[in-house]
Amino acid sequence: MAKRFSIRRQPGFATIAMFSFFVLYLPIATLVVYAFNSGTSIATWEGFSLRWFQSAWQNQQVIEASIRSLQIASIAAVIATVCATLAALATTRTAPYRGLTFKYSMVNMPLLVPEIVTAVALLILFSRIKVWTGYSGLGYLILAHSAFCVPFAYLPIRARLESMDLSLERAAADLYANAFQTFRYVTLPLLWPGILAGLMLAFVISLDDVVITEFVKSGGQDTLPTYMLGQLRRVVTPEMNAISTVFLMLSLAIVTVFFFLSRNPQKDDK
Amino acid sequence: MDQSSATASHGGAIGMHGIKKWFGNFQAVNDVSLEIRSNEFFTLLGPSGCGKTTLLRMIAGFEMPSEGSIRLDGAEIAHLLPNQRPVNTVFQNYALFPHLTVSDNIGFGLKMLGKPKAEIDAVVAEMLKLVHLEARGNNLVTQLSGGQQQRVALARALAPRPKVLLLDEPLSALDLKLRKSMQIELKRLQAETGITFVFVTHDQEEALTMSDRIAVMSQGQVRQVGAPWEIYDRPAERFVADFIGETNFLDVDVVDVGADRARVRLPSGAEIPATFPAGTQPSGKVTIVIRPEHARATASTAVTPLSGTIHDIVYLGTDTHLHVRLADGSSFMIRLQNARSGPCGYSVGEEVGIEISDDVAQILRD
Ligand SMILES: Nc1ncnc2c1ncn2[C@@H]1O[C@H](COP(=O)(O)OP(=O)(O)OP(=O)(O)O)[C@@H](O)[C@H]1O
Ligand SMILES: [Mg+2]
Repeated sequence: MAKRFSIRRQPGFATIAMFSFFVLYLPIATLVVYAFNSGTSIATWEGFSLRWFQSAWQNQQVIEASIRSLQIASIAAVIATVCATLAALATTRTAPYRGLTFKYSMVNMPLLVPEIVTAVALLILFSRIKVWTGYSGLGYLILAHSAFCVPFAYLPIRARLESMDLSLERAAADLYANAFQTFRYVTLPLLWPGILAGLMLAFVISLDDVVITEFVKSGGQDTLPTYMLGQLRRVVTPEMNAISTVFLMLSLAIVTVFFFLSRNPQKDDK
Repeated sequence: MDQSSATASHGGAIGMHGIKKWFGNFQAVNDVSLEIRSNEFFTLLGPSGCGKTTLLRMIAGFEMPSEGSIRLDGAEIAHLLPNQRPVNTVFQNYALFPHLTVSDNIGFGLKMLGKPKAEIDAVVAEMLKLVHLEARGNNLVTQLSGGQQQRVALARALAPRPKVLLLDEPLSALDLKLRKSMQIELKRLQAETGITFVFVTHDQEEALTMSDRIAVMSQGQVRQVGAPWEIYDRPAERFVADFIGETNFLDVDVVDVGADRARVRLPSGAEIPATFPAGTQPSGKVTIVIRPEHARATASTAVTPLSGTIHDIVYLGTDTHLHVRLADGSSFMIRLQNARSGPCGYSVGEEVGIEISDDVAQILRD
């Protein structure tokens, strides 16, 4: 029997793979290592210490920015996911009609519009509203984040809905479930992994955003990324590395939690 | 028998009148009228694409007829949503809920109807017993074999005690052996529950063995409705005769028409009696059908209505097929049952007479 073609058996595969991993992760590894530097340099190793984690932990601005980031990200992610779920249901659970593709593109459009354009547009709009209403709280940032997170949450939810067998919903209707019961007992449980994926994605995207936040925020509304950006313009100490490292761990934790939550229950027992 | 017969409901009767269904410009169902009786095992039989599933989906409520009415026990249901009809479906791909256990799948309908938990549990236990899956109640449906999933689908559809059960080719995914045993199982369930079954298949043998009555469909129309023997022995038209089993077509002349029998003259000049479809008045040139097992070969050609030369012999184990070339050049097939072992005793090139049993010829509608 002839061996089937496998990329793994091609010459140099292992080398190229190793090199790619190296290039991908070296900067991150360096960043993490220097978070534990005892000196004030981010390039010269002077010994192991946790002092930068301590100093970050005691830095009131860092704490406040972190809390603000988490607040915005969690509220925005929930809003975006709810909108995205409704949009995904509306665009998949319907017979195709004229204009459906258009709607589909409209939902995804924000992915293509340069972020800076959205940022400027929001800045102008919100400054008007600020003048009219006098309100200048976190609401603007939450609203802005919710808006640009929708397409990110939409993608996994739509993918999940499309791969779902329509006859399951038909079977539910056949078994006396009304529209709401069908959604509650069949569609939602099966859609859950997609919704979680959308939620996590929206959360991470919001947490990470710099450009739009920078434009939309009022004074004293720094999120962690914009705070860090501000700091980098001045003195750079391993404190930045320490904050980044914690940030990284948080993201990893989210991804891990998501992985376990979204694992197919049917496969666990085999 | 067990409790299930004690709780047996009366199956519903379905009346369809002038049903038409258009998908855009394509007409999938063309003026179908059917009366399906209470407690009946009724089969829709026809080739792929003839509109069987579409008809079933209109009874279930997944499609609206473009025209016509559907009645259940006399009440119009064509406008009702699927969840408002006391009709359940066994889907071709089963459509079991993968996130629920076997028991929860079976209890789904009753739960949606808001039945108390104790009642649901009792019915689920009864259903599990009915389909021989007592030990599997707590398994996820994805952990079951194809045949077991099929039985869960059946139990799930039967649990709410529908008036009518719709089955869309429920056995087509199973291997032959399992299929045979499920056919028997289905018949048993239908008898025990007393629910009207509307069964869809394109397998003629399955239809003949299981049904009380069969509707043969082609191109969106019902061509003939009748008991299995009527469909087989008294096909009304060429399509039905051709679709069900093997058959011989002969062009003949009608010489005399009585109340329910006609006399027809074969090309050889011999005259035989033939039945004809009710409501027709055969005359002139017509086509008759004679099933291969209703003819016998004889050595003498003198007194038989037909004769010819054997041009092919096909041995099939249980039967042997003799293909005889008639005087007019057409081929006539005779099925010999291999009652004894060894060769059939005929050889290619041999002249044989063909005897035809009494009352087996049927005139087709043209
Ligand atoms: N939603 C639809 N839109 C357009 N055409 C359809 C639709 N559903 C069915 N049809 C067409 O209607 C015809 C009948 O379809 P149907 O599914 O009823 O056939 P069937 O008899 O069940 O065939 P099979 O044995 O292959 O399942 C087919 O030609 C099919 O292409
Ligand atoms: Mg079909």
